[in-house]
Amino acid sequence: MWKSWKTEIIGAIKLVIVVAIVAVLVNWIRTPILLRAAEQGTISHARARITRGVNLIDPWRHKGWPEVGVQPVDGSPGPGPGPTQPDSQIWTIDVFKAKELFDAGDCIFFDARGAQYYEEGHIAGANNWPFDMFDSYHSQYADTVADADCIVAYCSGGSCDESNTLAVSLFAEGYREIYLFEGGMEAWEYMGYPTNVGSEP
Amino acid sequence: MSDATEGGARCSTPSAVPCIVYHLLRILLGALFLVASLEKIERPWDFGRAIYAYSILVGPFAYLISPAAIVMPALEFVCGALLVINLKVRQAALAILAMNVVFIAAIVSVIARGLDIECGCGLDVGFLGTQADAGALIRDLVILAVSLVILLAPQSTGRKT
Repeated sequence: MWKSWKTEIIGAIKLVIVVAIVAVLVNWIRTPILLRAAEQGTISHARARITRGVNLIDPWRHKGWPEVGVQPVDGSPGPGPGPTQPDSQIWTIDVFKAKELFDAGDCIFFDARGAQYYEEGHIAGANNWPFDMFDSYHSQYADTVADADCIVAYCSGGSCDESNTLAVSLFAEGYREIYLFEGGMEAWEYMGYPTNVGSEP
Repeated sequence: MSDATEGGARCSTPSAVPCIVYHLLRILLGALFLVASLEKIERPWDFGRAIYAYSILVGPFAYLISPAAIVMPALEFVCGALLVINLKVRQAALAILAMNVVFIAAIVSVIARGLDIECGCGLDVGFLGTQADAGALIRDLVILAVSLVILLAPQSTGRKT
């Protein structure tokens, strides 16, 4: 009795190992295939991005991406911000929440880096507001910011703090519903989300 | 299917009813895993994101999220297919059982921590719900029971080894 079960268990383990090896190989070759198909127009670029394989070695939080969900910068626990919390602090968000806000289109995105970095590539539709030139850009963006429901600030990602400085300046200026997208360009590009180059948003 | 297995593989008297139930369960469970795996195989990023949201693989264990997002759906697909085509049924059922234990543990931990996250179970059909909540837990317990039935079915039902 046990012997037959032992055979089954060993068989099941072998099955898992074989499937794992094949799955990893398939994952490895699927991205180039999808990219080629997108280049040839067989499938859309969006589809190639969404359905491509994942990077096996990169952990999901290797670049200090914050926790999933929304948490206040000051570390105190609390539910996500919303219309019921008009006086919320600056909220740290991760790349997925940033994408949600991007898709919803109610927020205005600000790239807090210098113009040179902004022109090399920024989140599609994001405006450039270098953190060290807060006052000179303030008049330029005042109307736009007033119209937006919320503000998302980001910089290159990792340990950059330009976006933090910009967010704090905005908060001090009286703006609310400010989101700090900590993953920044690094996480955004890593996920293959839309970007633009040049000086236009 | 072939009747070469010992104990008689065909659903004939006197064990016709358990035999038919067994094969029905086998095909249903297999089809369920097969269909549920497809979306996850197509969109490994979304599945990885779902695993990430469980906040179980944190810190250095985050290195396991990508491998899990690749291997688990593939395993579900293969095991589902094996069940449907009546091949290596017990091994496939064992693997499904093991996966289900992991799923149940994960959902229990999510409920215990009061997280409100997506299940990432595949098959996110409206009436089944899409969140990792008590509904998902009950679903997984039912699947666990079915896989146990398939695993422990006596030879007389025509089970293939």
